[in-house]
Amino acid sequence: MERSSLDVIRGTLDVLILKTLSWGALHGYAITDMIQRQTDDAILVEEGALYPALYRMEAKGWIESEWGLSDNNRRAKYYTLTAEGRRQLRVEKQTWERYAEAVGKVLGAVRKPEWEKR
Amino acid sequence: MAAPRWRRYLWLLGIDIAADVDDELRFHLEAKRDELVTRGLAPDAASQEAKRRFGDLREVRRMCVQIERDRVRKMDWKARLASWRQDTVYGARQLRRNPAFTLTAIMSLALGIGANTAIFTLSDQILLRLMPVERPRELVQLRVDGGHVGSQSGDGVHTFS
Repeated sequence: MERSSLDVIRGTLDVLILKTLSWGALHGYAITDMIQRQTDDAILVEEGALYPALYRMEAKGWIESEWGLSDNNRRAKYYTLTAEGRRQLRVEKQTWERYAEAVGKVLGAVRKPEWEKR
Repeated sequence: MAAPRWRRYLWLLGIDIAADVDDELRFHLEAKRDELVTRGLAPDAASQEAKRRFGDLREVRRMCVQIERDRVRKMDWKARLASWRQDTVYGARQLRRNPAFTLTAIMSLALGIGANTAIFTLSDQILLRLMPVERPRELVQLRVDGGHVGSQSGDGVHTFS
């Protein structure tokens, strides 16, 4: 499946959100905070980019939302994983790990690889 | 362009997608501002920094509203009913958490409905229906021309016909 670089970036954010929500229900700000802390601010430089991703994933049925009250009694939208979302997380995680392994093999070469002509 | 029919139903049910998106994004900005304040920034500087870190607020808002509108439009009636039921449950939970407010609201509604019902019943009996007297159709309503007795306006002449 062909993926443009924008798709890869968007897909990465999606899988990060899915994994973050696997720990439990969170509102948008908490998701941002957790991702930024875990990645040392490397990803999600623009915090607002999280929200269209959340809305798209809800449209795809991977997550669902519910209005609730935050710790300081403010109205906030909480997101949870659906069963479909959990399945998607598993698949994306595998895809990502395989992708990272493949790229790692090429980038990790110490000397120029040579094989017999196929 | 007139709003499509499904959007008018949303308005009737009290669902406003743009307002919800605004609420959600405002929550984020306020939470970020509060966090920056605890880290030592002045409130104004914190607000600005929160907005800066957020990115293009208008664009994010536009995208989210668009995606949500499309999602709601594609929903089938079962999903929409479940969604509406969820909102009703949330509303009921909120009312239970604020008994003083709930009581005030109920009493205001009761007083309003009661007063209106009384007035309309009275009007109905007196003006619209026939009153229980001998010749109800000969009842007339008198009105005095020229202002009240003792008032400065008018010429003080009372006429009946």
